[in-house]
Amino acid sequence: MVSIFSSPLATPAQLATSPSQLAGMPEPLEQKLRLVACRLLQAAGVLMELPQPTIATAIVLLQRYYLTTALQSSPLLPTCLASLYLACKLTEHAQKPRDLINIFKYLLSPASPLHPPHIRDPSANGVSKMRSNKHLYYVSEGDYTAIRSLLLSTEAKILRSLGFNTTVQLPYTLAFNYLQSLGVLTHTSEPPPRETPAERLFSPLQNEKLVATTFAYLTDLLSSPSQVYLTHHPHELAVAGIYMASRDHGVKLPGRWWEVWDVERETLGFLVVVIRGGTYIPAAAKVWIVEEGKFEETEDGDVVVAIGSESVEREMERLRSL
Amino acid sequence: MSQKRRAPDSPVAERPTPAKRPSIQDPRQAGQHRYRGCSTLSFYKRIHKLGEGTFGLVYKAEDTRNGMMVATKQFTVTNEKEGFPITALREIKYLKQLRHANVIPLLEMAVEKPMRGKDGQKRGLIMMVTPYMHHDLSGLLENPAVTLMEAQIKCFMLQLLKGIKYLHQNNILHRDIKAANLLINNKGVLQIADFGLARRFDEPAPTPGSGGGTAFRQYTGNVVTRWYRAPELCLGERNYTAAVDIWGVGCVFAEMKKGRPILTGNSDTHQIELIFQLCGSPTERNMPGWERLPDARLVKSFAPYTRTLEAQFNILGSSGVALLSELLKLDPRTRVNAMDALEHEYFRVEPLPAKPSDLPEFADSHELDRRKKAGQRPLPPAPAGGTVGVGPSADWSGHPGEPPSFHTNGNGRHVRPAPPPPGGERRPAWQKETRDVRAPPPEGGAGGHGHGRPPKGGKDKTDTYIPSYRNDGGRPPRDDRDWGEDRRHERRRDERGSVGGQGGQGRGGTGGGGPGGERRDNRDRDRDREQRERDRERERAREWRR
Repeated sequence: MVSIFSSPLATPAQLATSPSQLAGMPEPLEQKLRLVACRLLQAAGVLMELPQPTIATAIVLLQRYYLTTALQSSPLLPTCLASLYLACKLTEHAQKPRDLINIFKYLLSPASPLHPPHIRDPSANGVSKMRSNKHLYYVSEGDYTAIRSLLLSTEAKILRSLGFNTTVQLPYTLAFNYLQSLGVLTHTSEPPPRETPAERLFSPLQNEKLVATTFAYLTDLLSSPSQVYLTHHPHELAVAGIYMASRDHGVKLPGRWWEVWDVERETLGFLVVVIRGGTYIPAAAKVWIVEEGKFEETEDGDVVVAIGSESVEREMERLRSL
Repeated sequence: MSQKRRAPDSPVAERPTPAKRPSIQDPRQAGQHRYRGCSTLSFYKRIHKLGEGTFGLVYKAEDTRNGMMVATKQFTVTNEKEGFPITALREIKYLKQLRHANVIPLLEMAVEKPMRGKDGQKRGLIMMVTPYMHHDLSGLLENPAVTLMEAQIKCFMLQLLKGIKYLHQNNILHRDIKAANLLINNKGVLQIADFGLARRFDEPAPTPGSGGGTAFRQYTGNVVTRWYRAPELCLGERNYTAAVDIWGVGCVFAEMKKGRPILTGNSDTHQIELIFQLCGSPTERNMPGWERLPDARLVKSFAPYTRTLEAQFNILGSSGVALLSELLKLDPRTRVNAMDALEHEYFRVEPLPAKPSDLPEFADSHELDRRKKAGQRPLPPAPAGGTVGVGPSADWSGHPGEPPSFHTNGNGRHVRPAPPPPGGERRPAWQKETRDVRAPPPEGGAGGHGHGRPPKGGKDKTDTYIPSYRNDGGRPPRDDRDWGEDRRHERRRDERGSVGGQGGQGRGGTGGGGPGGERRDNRDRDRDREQRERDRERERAREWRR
């Protein structure tokens, strides 16, 4: 049977020795770059109006791929492009490479909301003011051809290193099913005859929020540094998302309800810690993304991450010399 | 608990049962993890060609690591336009997910590093490795040494229906059920192969007693090899259901008894005609809503046919005919589904189904061998897998042997050469043309651009008919314009219309085409349909953008 409950999982050994770190990349840098990749994919997916399963598939494929290949040997941008392109095909929402490339160009341009506001001025970024800056916004034909061929060859590399195991099982559907079977989504068209405080909790509006919050937690987990989508099965993630959301909304669920879906208390506890733990970078801080430039941290705790391979190289040099 | 939950073939390197299986690491580079399921081509020694799949050649090969006989289906991948072909992605994904005795298992993938070809294009070779099966059903039926007993037919039918039931329960449409895609080994096990056209369907899976169910969304109509295409597909239905596979099962069932394909239409129009000759003309009673189907107008041009199915297949016995008429029901909503068919009385009356292990061993027989001995063959080969691209609109393009390269990577490079035409010397000119579908229609071809009369008989094979809408553009379609799989099919259909031209009809002359005047009517009709088809496509493109 086609199982929706299990996904291929990474091993502790794989997680402990990431190829990027073996190739000399410090862990914090790797974490930052991975986080940025998730942000980029999510943003690009939203801009392209792709369904969340497609975006999530892209992120999981990218995370799996970086367990087999070092960031140094497979630069971030083409890998993001390729994993999103592949995910689109896998989820039957095929996109043209051209659209993907344009969207990523926009996301890395100064006009993008992801671009750090304090270096809007290209000259601050080491680019001479005299030069036309249209290359920041515009993909020339030559660039396009080059990026596309990089995209497609990266796609082949991803497929190969994943051994063509392209199935990604996501927890969203399961979470919805679980919520339904917990009875917190059922509501009749008539209002209940006697409204007790407990019953008021099950108003349709609240339950819509419950679903939305659950999904939001599941989406947040995608970019968690613990890469729980690689280490936990979808049903475990779904249960953790529901647990957090039901607490947020004060929805009372039966005691030890997670055991119905074979999730152990410890697993759930771990996932809750992961959700609470947030990202590597302090939750309040903003993460800005540029293509080439300096890695920096502002006084407010904001972080600028450059994803171009030259910048990554320079940052590695800098960290090594420290 | 969660440990037990893990899939048995958890594709990431290993399950954390540490003592048993250490992390798979690349011995050359310590710490580099590798995923299971992918090896290199050099492990396999090619023995000989077995056939042609939807997008590549199939070879019998030996796994040099353990001496196991395997079949390898290979396709080249270039990085030109679309990267890895989406049909191949689907096929691999589904085969990896599915696990059933009657569905071919995917042993592993083998890849070769991209090399620069003669034209400087980098292309990698990718192979899907499946167990070697001794026969395909099509080849087996052709094998003169083989006559299937009733018990054996029942045995194969049971296995086929079990496989189909499994696919449908998992929400997968095969969309290319035909005898050549049913593989049989010498232990009598039948397995469904070639998922090049399969895809998920979004509707709930059929349940017992509910027939084919109803469809909520549209899929591409360019599916299923013509001879096995269900009537609703022939009439342009795009909201089709799992019932299209069941029709194919019915055709295969009858084919096993007759020893040859039963509905061998040489064009799409002819195919509909044959179907209605067998099952009777559609009425509101036997096929409710048929008149609302896009191409229903075609049917009105035929004489009303009376049903001949029972008379033709009385050799099956009463229960056999009953099953066949359930499988070949015109109405897809009441056509039996795989679950109910398995419960059919046919499998419970004497002679009882044989056990797979009781089946005798035969000499290996494959569809390709059959084609090699084309001289002995009374019929042309079934359209190859790729011909499924022939849309319901392209009913003038009856080219049965067309290369299935429509399912290649979409960059116009054809992995697979056109199969040898039956009888060798009958290779029509248009078949050569179809080697590159991107080429503009052969305008210089004899026959006068669709203005002249189509030639009579099957001897003249030049392209004579170019649909009118092609004349305004005439350029080959641009590649970067195709976005979705379904759209691509649409476009291919256009190409087929022009490239295939009248060749198919010319061929059809041997198989019952009408006189010239009638053909002209056909052509007008085709043009009308083409117009409608174009409108539909536009609509779909709009929908797609939304």
